[in-house]
Amino acid sequence: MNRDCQHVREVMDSYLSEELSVETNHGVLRHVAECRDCAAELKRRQRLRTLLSETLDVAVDADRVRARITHAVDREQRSWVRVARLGVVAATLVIAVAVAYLAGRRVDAAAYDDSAADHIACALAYPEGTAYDPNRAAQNLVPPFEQIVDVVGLSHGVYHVIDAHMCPFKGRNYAHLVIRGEGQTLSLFAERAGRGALPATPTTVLAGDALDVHATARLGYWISAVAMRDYRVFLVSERPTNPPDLAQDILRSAVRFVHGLEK
Amino acid sequence: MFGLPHQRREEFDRAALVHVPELLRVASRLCGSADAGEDLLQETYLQAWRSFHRFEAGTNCRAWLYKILLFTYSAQNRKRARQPILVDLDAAGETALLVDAPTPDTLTAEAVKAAFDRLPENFRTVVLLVDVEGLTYREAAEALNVPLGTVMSRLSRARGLLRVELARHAPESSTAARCGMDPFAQRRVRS
Repeated sequence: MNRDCQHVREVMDSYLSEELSVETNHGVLRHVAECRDCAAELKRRQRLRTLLSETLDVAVDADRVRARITHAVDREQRSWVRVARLGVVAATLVIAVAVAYLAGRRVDAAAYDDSAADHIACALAYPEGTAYDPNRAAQNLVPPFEQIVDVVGLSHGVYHVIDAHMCPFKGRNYAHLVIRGEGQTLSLFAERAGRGALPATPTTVLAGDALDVHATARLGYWISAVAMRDYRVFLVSERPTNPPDLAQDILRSAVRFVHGLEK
Repeated sequence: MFGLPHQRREEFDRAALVHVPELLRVASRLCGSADAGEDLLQETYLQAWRSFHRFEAGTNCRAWLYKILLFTYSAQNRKRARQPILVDLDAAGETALLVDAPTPDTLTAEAVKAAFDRLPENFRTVVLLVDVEGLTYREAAEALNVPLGTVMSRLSRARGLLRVELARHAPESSTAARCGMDPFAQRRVRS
């Protein structure tokens, strides 16, 4: 076996696999046309390859296995769809909870109505000449509102607190300060934030504080609302106080109390 | 890249399922039984479906599937038991001997199968892919996740070993027996 034979034997299998360049391919063909030994070896290798394919050919039921695989992929796909759907539901729930949480830090529109209605039903029912009784207030206020009168203060100019109590109303439970002066009754409500949203644009900013004040009219009363982290404060009045800053002063004192709770 | 889920599924069915027959043959050969081959192939296709979003349309889906098949197979093997580590033949000495090894005159299906079964596993795999299933060297390299040169050298040695194995067990009159070639007499190859 000369060097040409050796080279051809080295590339013979690649020739059978059709992996040679055109030039090398021609070289193999030219050589085996002249070399009987290499031509015989080429035939034997071709025969070996044929026998390999025949011997290793396994009888398979490809259609049945394809159907089995299709079914498995179907099942996998459905499970992913279920996971995706659950994901969407979970995401929606998370968003809903987040929205509810954020909304809870604001005041819903119904809270204005409730505040006005509660003011009419509760505060206006106090007879003329009612004086503040600290013992009665202490009995009626519950945590964390026991100190609210102390912080807000009994008097703001000509306005005086005449009572303080917890006021359950339509499923909510306000701390309710009834304040009188200038021939009108004010209601100061403080409650834990739980629901709703304020109008998009505040009407003013609480003087001396960065908090937005959202004011609106309901049932003939003027209502100012402030939403804080965990609480909401409402001040209901029949008309503006004189001076107008007095109402802001009362509201600010309630905010100061809530700030203390939130610390 | 396949926008909607049903488009992705249609593309998967079109591009991948067509290769079930040949992959099933290879899987069955690798596992040694049709049942185990079916299980391996199903797992292969599930893996392929899960990662089909990474498959680039227009590239070689066949080689990609082979790659997943072989990866899944080796992963299953690793789970079952630690396999003996293949000791490659010494490239300098024995490769030349194997390349020159002549093919015996007398070949029978039984002898070929027996010789094939005696090859180390990674040699069997590359012969199975290229010489039996007709993958190109490049496809085999992609499927085995090795460089092209590794496929070529592995094939060269696998084919040489196959011929030597056939010669060892061939009748006395056969070519290799006459030449007295038996590298295994000095050194066994572990699979």
